[in-house]
Amino acid sequence: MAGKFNSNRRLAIAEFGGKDVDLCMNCGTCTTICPLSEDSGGGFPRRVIRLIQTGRESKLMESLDPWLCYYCGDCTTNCPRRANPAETMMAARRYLTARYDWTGLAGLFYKSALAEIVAILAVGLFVTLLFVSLHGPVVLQRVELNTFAPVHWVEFGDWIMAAVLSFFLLTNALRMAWWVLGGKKMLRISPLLYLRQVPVFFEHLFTQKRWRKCGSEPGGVRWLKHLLLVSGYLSMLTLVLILLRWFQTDKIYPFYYPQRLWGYYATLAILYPTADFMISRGRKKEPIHLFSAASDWIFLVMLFLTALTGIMVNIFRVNGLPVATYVIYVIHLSIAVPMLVVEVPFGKWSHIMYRPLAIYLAGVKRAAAPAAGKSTGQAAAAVAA
Amino acid sequence: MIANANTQRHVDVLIIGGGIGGLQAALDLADQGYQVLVVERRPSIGGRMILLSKVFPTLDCASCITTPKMAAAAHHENIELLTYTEVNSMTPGPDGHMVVLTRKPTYVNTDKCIGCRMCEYACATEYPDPLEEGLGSARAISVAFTNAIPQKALLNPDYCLACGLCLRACPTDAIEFDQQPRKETIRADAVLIASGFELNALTLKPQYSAAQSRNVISPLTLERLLAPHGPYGRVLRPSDGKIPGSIAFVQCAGSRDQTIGVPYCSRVCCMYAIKQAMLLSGALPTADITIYYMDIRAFGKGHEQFYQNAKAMGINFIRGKVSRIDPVDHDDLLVHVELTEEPENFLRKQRHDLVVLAQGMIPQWNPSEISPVRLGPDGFVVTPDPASPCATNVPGIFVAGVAAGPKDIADSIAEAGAAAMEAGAYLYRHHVADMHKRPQTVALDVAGNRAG
Amino acid sequence: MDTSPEKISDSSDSGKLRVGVYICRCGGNISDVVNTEHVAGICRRIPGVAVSKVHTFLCSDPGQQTISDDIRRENLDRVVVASCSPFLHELTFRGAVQRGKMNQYLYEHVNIREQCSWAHKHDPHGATAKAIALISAAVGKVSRSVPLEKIRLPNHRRALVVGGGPAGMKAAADLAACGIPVLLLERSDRLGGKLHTLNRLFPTADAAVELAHKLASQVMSHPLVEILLKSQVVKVSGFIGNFEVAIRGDFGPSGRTTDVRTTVGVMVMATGYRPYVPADGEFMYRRHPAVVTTVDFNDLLTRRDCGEGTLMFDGRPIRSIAFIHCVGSRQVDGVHTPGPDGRLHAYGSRVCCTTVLHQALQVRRRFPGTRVYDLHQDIRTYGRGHEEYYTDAARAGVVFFRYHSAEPPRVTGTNGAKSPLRVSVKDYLSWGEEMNMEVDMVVLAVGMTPGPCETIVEQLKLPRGEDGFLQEIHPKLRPVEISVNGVLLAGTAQAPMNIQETLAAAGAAAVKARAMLSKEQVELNPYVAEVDTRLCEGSGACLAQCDYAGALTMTQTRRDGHAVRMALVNPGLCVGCGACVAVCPTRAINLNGWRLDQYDAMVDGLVRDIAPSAVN
Repeated sequence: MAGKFNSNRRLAIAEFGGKDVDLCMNCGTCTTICPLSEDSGGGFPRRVIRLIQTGRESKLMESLDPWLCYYCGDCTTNCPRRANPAETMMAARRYLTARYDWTGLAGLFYKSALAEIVAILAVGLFVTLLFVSLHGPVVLQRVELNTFAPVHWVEFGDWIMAAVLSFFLLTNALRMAWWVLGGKKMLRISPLLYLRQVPVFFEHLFTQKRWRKCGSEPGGVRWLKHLLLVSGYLSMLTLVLILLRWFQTDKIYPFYYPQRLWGYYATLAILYPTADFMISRGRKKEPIHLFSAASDWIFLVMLFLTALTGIMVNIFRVNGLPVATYVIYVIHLSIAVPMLVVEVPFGKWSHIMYRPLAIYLAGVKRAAAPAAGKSTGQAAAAVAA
Repeated sequence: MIANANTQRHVDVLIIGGGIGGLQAALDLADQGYQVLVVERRPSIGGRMILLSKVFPTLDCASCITTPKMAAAAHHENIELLTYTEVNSMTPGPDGHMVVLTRKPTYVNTDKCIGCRMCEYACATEYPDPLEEGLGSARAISVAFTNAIPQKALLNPDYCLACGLCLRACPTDAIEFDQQPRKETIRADAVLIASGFELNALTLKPQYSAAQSRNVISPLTLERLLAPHGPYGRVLRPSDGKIPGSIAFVQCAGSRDQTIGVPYCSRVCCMYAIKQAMLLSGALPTADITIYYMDIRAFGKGHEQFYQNAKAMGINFIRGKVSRIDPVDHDDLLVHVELTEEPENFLRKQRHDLVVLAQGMIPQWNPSEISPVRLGPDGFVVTPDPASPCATNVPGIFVAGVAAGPKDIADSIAEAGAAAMEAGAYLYRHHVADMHKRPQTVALDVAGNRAG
Repeated sequence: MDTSPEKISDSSDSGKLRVGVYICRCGGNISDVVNTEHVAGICRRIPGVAVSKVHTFLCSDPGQQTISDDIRRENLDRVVVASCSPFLHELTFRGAVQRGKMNQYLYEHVNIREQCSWAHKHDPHGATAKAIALISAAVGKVSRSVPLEKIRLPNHRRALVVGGGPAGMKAAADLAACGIPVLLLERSDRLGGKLHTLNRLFPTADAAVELAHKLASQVMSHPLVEILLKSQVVKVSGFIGNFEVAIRGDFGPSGRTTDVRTTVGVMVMATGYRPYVPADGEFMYRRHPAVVTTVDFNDLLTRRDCGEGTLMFDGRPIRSIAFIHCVGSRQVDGVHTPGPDGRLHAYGSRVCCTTVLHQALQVRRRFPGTRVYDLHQDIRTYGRGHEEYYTDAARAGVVFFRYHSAEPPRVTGTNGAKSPLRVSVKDYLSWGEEMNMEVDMVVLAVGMTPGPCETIVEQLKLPRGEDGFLQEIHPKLRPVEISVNGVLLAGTAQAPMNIQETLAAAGAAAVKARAMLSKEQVELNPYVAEVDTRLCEGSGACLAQCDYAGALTMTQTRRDGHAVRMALVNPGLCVGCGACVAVCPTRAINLNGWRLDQYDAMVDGLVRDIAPSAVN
């Protein structure tokens, strides 16, 4: 397997936060300290680091390793050269996200926080202007949100947005599969194999169960917090996308009614972990929180603000404050929409899809080439097992 | 000759450290006719080397090299040895360096003690002998070791029960329970620092489980196990006395690692690990011996051949830094390492009976606290002038051996010679200048012999 | 069989002798195989033996003390020590004997470690019996020893330093600083040696030229240092304190090549190293102009025309460089072919790893657009401040590849591709994958080979090690001395070293030289030939056999009133080889300390029946 070492180009991984990858002397500490490496074919993180050092992009594009890392930071804590392998893996994820994305926006946003903020502001402004110009009658006597923002209009907007985002997401997912499964070779794999692995995707999407093994920290607390966040996030998505008519009502139900309880759960399940993560990132105590790129902050802040403004809508509404309710509702959507539009296909959100997809693709790859026996095959076998 | 303490004296050179470097410098200076005082903090001269088994790359027995130098120093008419003595301060002045020493109480009158060891045989208390890395035991009053110089008993007050058995046993009434530390000031025209090294803590990296398992040992412990006159007389592992069937050497366990603050290379670990592996394979021919390394730094004369011989002997060399060592049942150890030179990804958890950690070399003594001598960021003494590799930033203070950075024995000895030369040249200038200023003081003739 | 009747008269009577036999356990090195207690017991039965003792470490101070005390207390007049090789400790025990106020040449050393316990590890009984036989022979020999005195000859208190590089300059400066006159010899027309070929020194980044100037000014300004440039030793003979040297050079008022003769007391060999020159075609060396050595590359980096911002070579921009380590070092039989000197350079050259990293780092810092690849086996940045070069080079973006000695990288031409050279390497950091890189330049990290000093080496018969460098007596006991007394080793003549180590070695050589020159007279071992003037018939057979010029001469003298021709020994030049003893038809010539009757006594001792057949 002669490898062409590309001497004329180096991977621009530094632009994605992998600033210390050159420092690695390939001692292997990271690989053996990593609790997940053995289950993943025994190659990471050093394999990814070495591919980056030697500028072997196609091999990196083919690799699923970055998505199998959940960033416990043990490798970085133990690295004798302070080469920060965990952050290199993070940077590799950003790099891959950018490469999967055919619009080029993901790369732009990762490399430039300014571009990302401008994009968010632009979309937010667009949503605000949309409401300023198109909102319904403003009822001041009592709170009539569905008059101010008719629920079927909002729902319509939701679905448009969902369709557009899904288009971007799915095309990017296809590009990922294309590289990982070896280009045209993926067309020769039986559709049955693809179908059979689908449960794996959802299993990992909802549980991130591999994460529980990650890290020397006790008890998987971070995994629990993250799981809470995911549940809150998915709840919110369900409530506003599928159950919006049921959720956004002007009638105030008693608090124990399911739509209210579920809404409160979703809010808390987003607010608590995001606040906790932001505090941790500010404190920089745990290895995972030592290095925060702008994209990490933006994602957290946007999520937090979305939930915060969402609950404020509820508070004002329940307390019968019509103007405050309408204003905060507009603000809420002006935050939530850009958060979704920018983050879902092009930003950090996309990892929600890429991670389970990587495990799914590993399963497909293993099923398609059981006799390959090479390292990636091994990795796939181990992951899917 | 062994000195008696006076109050204030003058010497030409005061050497701090009676290890191999200090002794070599002392011999070289004394051979040039200078009066040398060697100050050693331990009860005997000989330093680290006297505690080693054999030395690379010649596999000479360490005692065979060290003891004659110790004896030569002890018998040299120009050398005086002060053992069990600490240096408190070192102040440069117009008349040389004023060095304040503390002679620690040995509770034995060294003039009276004849080294007969009757006290040691009578003593009822034993404690883990630090010279045997705690594997053997020492009596509360004892002569440090068989070849110690001076052959004088020394009482360890931490373990003495004051039972008086030794008092009765001593034929010369040399034991004095009421000894106190004594201060002494030496005026030295030049000072030579040869204070050597210590190893950073075995437990420095908790990942290596040295606090949990007695079978994670220091290379110095293995030296004692391998030494022909060592604690057990053969190689047994500490926890249960089992003959180890599988031994791992974990290199760079205390060096080249920024997480523990020792980014530098300790320079000798590769070679002594190879040496110990060779000696082990001689002592335990069926044992499986593995050296986990990042780079084998066999740089010196005869080193590469030594390394190749070890490979030919069947010692396993595995490239990869050990990340973790886990104690497992039966006192064994599981070494986690990536085999970084294999054609496939290869993680290994290898079981071993005994693990030797190549601890890092750190300075034994910090002269910057008590003198203007400057240290580098690594804690070792700096030598700012490239043309004078042994001169510190203070005129008249010189440095040799590991005090100026990790070094093997051969390099330390060469450097000790160089330091002696530079100190000698400094003294020559000093004395020549003195001759014009104060003709009554000691002068040297052209060849450096003492005259007048 | 007693053929030397008179000299040994009072000592041959073993009844009066009191021999002390001391047997060393060597901490187990000996006693683990040889039954030392048994040996001591048996030795007491040898006629003349008064004391027979065992000690754990005889060479230690208490051990030596036992010997000197016994000489006084037990009234001993001969001592035999059975321990390790005399190479290690004969002198140690002579010292102990002397402290006991006994003539040191009434001492005999028996090697029962290398020759018994180590050689016959698996045959303890045989080893023990052999030890007894050897000791018995030594007792026989020492019984016929006579007190000898060291030969004292005038000491020329002047040093010759051969080589004007850093080691030579440092040794000369140190010696002169202590008031010793020095003659400093340099082949080329300037002092400084290889310092002129270096750029910045690691790890301090001091300029090499500045160090050269500093050292040169130290020697040039010193009135006791005489410097001869463009000159070299053409003939040398003699011994410590009295080396006769003929020097040829362009000196004197005429400026023409002339020879001068001089006498010096010690010689410091600071003859340095030669960089390894790759064979034609080795990694395309001399086949392609862009394949250069680290020496050439260092030269390029110091040139002004190497470019600003972009590294230029041969009028072409250099965008990528591959450094290949261990060229001419760590060579492996079967992979590499021996060089012109017939030697395989199996040793590591110590400095090249840091040199490469130093150069790579300079390239990355001065020419950030140039990519640097480093192909190594091990990175040996062992020295203080060296590991930082490795870390810094990595941080600066140097890409490292690791190859195995059996699979060295291959360099080929690319035939018109953008970059002219292709380097292929099986990279073991990338799971053994073959990596191909196209580069504009290949730099070969060449090792060190021994410097030029053939004349002196041949004429003084200086030993070389397996690696071709001058071989010290013992790396720890006598690290800068060579088997020819009075010749000292300084710097890379002995082994590859960096500048700091070279200067330290030079200092160590200087300190030994100063000690040797501090005495009015030199003392030589009395083991030289001696002619029995009554027996010599002047056959001249000895002279024909003698290998050492001047050691033996024939003279006319008078005996019993008759003019006779007789052999005369120059004890300064005789090395005590014994060739003359073997050919003398009248047994008139003998070696002091090794007389023929002593050999006879040793044979008697060997076959003496004292050891019972069963050994416990």
